Amino acid sequence: MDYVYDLVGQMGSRRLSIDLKTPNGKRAFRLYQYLQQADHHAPEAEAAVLGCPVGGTVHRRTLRYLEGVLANNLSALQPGEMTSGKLADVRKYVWKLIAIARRRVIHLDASSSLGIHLLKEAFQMAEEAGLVLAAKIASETIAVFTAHLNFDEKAYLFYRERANYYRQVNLLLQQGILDFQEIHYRHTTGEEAATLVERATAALDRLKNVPVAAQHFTLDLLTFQVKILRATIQRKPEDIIASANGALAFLTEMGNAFPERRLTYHLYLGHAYLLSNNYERGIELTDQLLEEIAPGSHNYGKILEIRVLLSFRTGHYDEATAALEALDHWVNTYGDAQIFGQNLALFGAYLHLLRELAVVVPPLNEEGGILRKIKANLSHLLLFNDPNCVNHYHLINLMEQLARRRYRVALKHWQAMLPSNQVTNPRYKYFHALLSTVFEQGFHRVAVERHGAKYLIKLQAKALGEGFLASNVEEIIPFESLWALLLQQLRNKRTNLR
Amino acid sequence: MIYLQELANMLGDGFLPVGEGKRDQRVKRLFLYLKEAPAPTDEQAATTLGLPAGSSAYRKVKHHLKLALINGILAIDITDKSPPENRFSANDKLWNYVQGTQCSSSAARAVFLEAMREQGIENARTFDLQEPLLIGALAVAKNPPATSSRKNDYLALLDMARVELAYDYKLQVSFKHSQHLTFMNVMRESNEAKTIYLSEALKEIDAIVAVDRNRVRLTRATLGLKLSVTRGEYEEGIAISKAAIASFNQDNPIHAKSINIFKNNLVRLYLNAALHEEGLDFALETLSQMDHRDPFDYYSTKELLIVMAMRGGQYQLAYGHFLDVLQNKLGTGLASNYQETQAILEAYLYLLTRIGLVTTQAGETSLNPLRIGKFLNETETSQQEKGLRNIHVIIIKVMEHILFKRDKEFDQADAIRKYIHRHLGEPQHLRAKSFLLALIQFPENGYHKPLVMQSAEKYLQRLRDNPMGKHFEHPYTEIVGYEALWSFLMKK
Repeated sequence: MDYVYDLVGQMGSRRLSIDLKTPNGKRAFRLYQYLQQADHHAPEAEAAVLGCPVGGTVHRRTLRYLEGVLANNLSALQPGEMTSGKLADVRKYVWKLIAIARRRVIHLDASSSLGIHLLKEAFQMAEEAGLVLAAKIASETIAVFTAHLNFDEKAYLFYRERANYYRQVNLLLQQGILDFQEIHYRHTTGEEAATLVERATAALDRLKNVPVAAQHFTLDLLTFQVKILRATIQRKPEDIIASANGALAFLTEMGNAFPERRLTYHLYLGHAYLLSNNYERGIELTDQLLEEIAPGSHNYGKILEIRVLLSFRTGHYDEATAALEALDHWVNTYGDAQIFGQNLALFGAYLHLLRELAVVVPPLNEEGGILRKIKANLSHLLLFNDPNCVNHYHLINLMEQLARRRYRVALKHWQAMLPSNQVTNPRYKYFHALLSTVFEQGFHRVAVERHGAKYLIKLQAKALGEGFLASNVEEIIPFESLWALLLQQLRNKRTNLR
Repeated sequence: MIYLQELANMLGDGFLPVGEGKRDQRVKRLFLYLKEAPAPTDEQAATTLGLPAGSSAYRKVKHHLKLALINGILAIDITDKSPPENRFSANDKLWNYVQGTQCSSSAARAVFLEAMREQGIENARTFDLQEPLLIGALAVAKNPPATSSRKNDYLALLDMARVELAYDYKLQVSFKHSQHLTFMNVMRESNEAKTIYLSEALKEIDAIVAVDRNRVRLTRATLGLKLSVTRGEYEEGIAISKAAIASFNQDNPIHAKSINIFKNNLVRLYLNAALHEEGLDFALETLSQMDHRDPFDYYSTKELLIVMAMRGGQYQLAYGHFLDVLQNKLGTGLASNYQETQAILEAYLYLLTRIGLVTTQAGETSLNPLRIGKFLNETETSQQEKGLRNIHVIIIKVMEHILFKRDKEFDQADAIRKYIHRHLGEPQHLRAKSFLLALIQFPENGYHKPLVMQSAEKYLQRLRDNPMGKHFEHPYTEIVGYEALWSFLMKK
């Protein structure tokens, strides 16, 4: 049910197709019109629109119904998509053809050839686009039906051979993907690196031993991805860069027609430059990518995000303002606020903090700019149902209140922050300990610095570039930099809060 | 146009997602035309829309309708939590979820993934729909939870996806071999070729490690059974069938179907192995346990029982069961080849009643009198077969002439000889060939029994030298034993 608000946002200016002849349809349409106009969803207002009790059956059912309708609309085929040349559109079309065909052929009606007709179209597109699972399902089904019910000797022998091939490739590919998913997930949940590196190496060995008859470029690309994952676990940004460049060279060599495939590796490169805090190379890469990618694509936004993060991580705070402006402008133009909204708010909040700490001085003509907008929306961080986001909110407020010498309020924010055992980032443990010294030492700068030194050493030993983060936005400005900024706000004067 | 109409029929009274613009109105009009027109044409459709047929505008309307129909058919209603009524509706629902899990919109995909997690995977298991189950599990596995609170569930899901992946591979390989065997049958490949193929196929299936489940077990056992039959090792086939029946769970409705398939095969094997007494007992026991409303399994077993009774000389028993078929209209709705076999059995039984080997009682449903013209019309496909049922059509045609039309000229002898020469050259047709050649001696020798006997002797000797089963004959090539038929004719 929570998806409904994201879905409304993703609809943007698209026309909603909904059956208004049914009571559910009429109610859902009213609710949709309201949600499109409302800045924030309020259950009371939704119930008022529907004329029903808040949280009652009608309210919940209508939200759920609308969710389905929106999902149908957003996943629907649009004119022009089949010739857009985008991999995502091809994938969507191919799977719709397969779904219709598989619904049809189960009836074993020899007089109908719709299923086979659609499957042949799906197979051709899937094969050209390298969609292995779709090609497997389509060719297997055609082979079954051309063997007897819709007998066609030539077609049967052709699709039988293709089905044999794709069945084998699919098995290896999906096993590899499941291995990748498991290792990646275990890594993000903080499992021991050595075991995960072993698992990744075993997965790579399996991919290396693919029989000649089952060679497919997706297996080569998966090999690069597993290598990148292993390098990420091993905290070796240079290996990530080498594998990503290898994948890009491989794609260039094979002349793949879908630019989206390249983008994945460009994003890995961006991530590697972020890990290695290489601002210059990162900016150079993202500049190049922004030239290549259509501004309407999701990945365009991801690259703009990387630019903002890179600026924060490397201390290019002035550049962060411009990068954030660009991201904000893009989000406003292309309507992906539901996806990028949270990170946008987080970045804005840190920029606001930097301004409060006088690290960033906005130009005079910035009065109506992004900083003003961000300041008004700082508390929006609490609206995102994400503990990481709420934790950032308290951290930013803690630092802001320390700068204003409002120590009691700062203490409350520190107490509201997540304890270190609830955060997977091991660096957070030491930073949390560092923050505790501020309050233990009565805000006395020298005392805080002296007592925090041991934690700072431990924090520095686990460098940010070593890939401890489950998500890039777990740590936006490195804790070391925040600590340095925090110390600047303290005086050599002990303050007792009692 | 046919495909578009089929899509329109699939949507039925469902919602067609189009807007209110001028083109949308045309799309709706074309949709209504397709729903109502019995045989739609582009010309009529274009006229209905007021557009020139073949024009770009008309093609665009068709294209938009295709998209709208696909979108409409695949739309989901997530408020509908009712369990699917049957395998077909479960399949429809699951494929609608599956396609949604592959769309590019992350928020929309999340809705389909949730539907797959909440209902889809369980329904796919319940109705044994392997492909949607696998694709659904793989799609869910590609979208891990954002937090570690559901870590164990997610890791369990990854393991489940691995199990399904391996099982699906084994299942599809089994299907591949099963369908190729059908293809080899259609292409009339030799028993030797089929034996080699099946031996390799079984080795490949057995080498794949996956969980043991009903469908693979069924397909694997069926292939093993077919290998035994192809080799003529019917006793081995009987053992395989018995073992397969024992391996299924009698109480599971999905297994019940598999059990019936093997029971049916077992009856067929008793027929092949000429174990008629044992076979009849088993067939009668099987029929007593089956639901007679099952259009396929029940009728198919009944048909085998009738054939076996006739082969075993129990004509009255066969007659009784055939009357049951007629009275209860069993086999109605099955493929035309079942109807044709039924016509052949009825013709034989009618001839047996006229010979006096089957007695009928007053008041009971009687067989239709054999009208050869009608009979030939009812067995059109059989007459196109090179062997098998065409042999019966010819036997019945000749016997009908011998019994009822002696006063008329028999002009089929040359055609029968040509047919024998062209199509019955293989050892497995030796008995049929010999019997047909013996049979045409009747008209050729003016129905004078001593002369017929004298000229048919060499063919009858061949029959005696080559008893049924010696050349792995298909059991259906001989419904009433040829020796028995010959002896009735000589007595008549």
